[in-house]
Amino acid sequence: MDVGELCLFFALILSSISTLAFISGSKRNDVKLLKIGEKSLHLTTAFLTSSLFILAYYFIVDDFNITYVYLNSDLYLPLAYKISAIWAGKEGSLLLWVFYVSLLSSVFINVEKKDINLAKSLTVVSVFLTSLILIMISTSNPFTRLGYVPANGVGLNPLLRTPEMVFHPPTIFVGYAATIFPFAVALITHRFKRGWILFSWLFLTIGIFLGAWWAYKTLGWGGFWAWDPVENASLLPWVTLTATIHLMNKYKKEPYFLIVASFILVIFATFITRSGIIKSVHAFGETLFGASYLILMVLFSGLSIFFYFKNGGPEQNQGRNVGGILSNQDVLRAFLILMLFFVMAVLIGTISNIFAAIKRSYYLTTALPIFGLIVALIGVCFSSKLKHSILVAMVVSTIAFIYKGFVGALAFFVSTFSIFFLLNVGKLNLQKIGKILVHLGIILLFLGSTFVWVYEVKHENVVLEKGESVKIEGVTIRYDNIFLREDNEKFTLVPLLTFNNDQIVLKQFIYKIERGERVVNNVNVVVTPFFDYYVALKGISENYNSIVIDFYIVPLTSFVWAGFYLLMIGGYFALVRKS
Amino acid sequence: MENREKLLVGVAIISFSLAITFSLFHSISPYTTVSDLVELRNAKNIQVVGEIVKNSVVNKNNTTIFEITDGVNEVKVIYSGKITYYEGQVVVVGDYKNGVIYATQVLRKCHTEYRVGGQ
Repeated sequence: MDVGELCLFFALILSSISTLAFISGSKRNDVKLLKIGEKSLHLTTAFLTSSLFILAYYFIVDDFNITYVYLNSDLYLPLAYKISAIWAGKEGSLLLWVFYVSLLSSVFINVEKKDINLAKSLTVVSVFLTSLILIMISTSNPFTRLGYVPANGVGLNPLLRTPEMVFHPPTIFVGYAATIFPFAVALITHRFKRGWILFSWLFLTIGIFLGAWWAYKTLGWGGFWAWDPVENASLLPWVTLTATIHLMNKYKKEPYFLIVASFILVIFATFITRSGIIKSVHAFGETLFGASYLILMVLFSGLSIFFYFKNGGPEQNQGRNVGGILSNQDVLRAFLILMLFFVMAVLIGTISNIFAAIKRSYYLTTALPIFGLIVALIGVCFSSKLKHSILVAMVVSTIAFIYKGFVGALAFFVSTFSIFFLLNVGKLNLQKIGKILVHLGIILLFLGSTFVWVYEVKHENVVLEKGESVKIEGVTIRYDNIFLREDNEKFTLVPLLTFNNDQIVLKQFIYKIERGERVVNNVNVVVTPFFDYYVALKGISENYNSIVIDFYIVPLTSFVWAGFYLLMIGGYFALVRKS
Repeated sequence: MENREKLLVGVAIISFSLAITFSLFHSISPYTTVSDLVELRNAKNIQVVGEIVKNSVVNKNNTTIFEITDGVNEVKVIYSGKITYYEGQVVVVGDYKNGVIYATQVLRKCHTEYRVGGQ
């Protein structure tokens, strides 16, 4: 048996011990048993850390006898990508997720007050951790070996050879892993751990941003969000966590079910991406082991309903008024309903992907208007100068109507109206600044994404013959020349283009690996303040005399990125406020 | 909750559910397999899932001709664009006429596919 595998088995045994120790320890209030539980949980973390490092070692020394290394790496892969290849596949990313859950449990033990409630919460956590390790060992063990030693690996998927993909999985999995803790605490105490919820939210935000940024820069379809099931699956827990954050200080019942939903949706995301149930272009693997995640979802949903009734009915706190048009309570209720509508719309679209392809128009007619209404609520909640904000919003939206049309006008009306919340922020502190930035970010994100989704101009399969100028959308593009480069890992074809009066390059990488997908075409984005010229290479003819490109004009992407930055910075401020 | 509020929420839920259902039916296009397809003569706006038949890809003047299969039947695809991959599962979007799919889009399994190569 492999050393790494051995570590996984030890981790499984130790986390089972900790589960048993926490269960009987918290029942009898036996401190000795609880100590054993804590110790074995820490040891579980140590063993999982070791197996992660062992896997990293196999990647670094090119041990292609390990199936997972063989499938995701090769001799000439740069070191940074050899390390990121750890989470490039199903097995490694599960190991990463499990590692985070156990590492954060160790942190959780050390930062939280040690009492009977912590012990009970840890029972929930260790049950989850043990099931994950069990699933990993039985269905996606990263340490299985081939019967022979191949001379070289098949290489890392070329699309994953980007800096964004080095960081995207490690961040989003922190967010996923952290949801178990506020979930477990809510189950036991009906209390909401602000710090853990915000922590998880922040990492999901960063992860989603990195994924969107990567898609825009790498995939060449001129957008940052395709409403793909995998993307949707990561968005859903983010939305329910956002709703939890808004309601957790005012209510008991609603945030309880929202945090439960967030955790279940995290498992759902794993299920969607790993089960292979979605037979679309974006599906992950082909295994049907996804069933184990369904069982987890049922198990933990059942637990949460059980604890809901066990710990007695909820008490409701009343919200305080912050001086908007409607009472704070009305706004929160409307907010909750809209957030649930949003989740419903995206969830139904995602599940329908199992049976059929869902066009973007579905999301644009359901989720997007709901998003708009949610953004409008920011204004409704905080605006004290109603007349002014409506007046200014009308002027701005008239201009938008002239330039872009009805949807653009509507989006600008809502955003301008809501941005007046800035006039009513009151006394500032770090947490308040964080809140302001996040809400500003959401408004920008709404405006930007509406424009990207609705007003993107697209010219597909534009053929450029060498030396001939083509004029599209007021832009002159000419394919001038082509160069060929070679290094150890790939050939690179570099067509030189004149874009208006500037020179830009496109690149086609042809990797020297034995994979189905060896050829990657890159994208060049010419950024202007209000729109991007987006040139994606599609193909190069055999005699190099012509190239094919897709040409997009993508409006207000800068708003989308700015919105994401504000969300991340604001989320960070809200998290580190002095408590 | 007051009765009036309950009514309002109820109306919102019902109308939103209707909107979702309506929108879904307008945005859905079912996947077809190659075998389903050969039984038809003509079909518009279809999405066909299939494996690219090995060595069948011909790129000429920015038009690509290839065949896809579901393991039972094969069908020819003419695509007015280039594809740069020669095997694996793809989704072909387009119209079906007299035994040929005229594709407007060819989508392949993206980055998130895990099992490639060796197994």
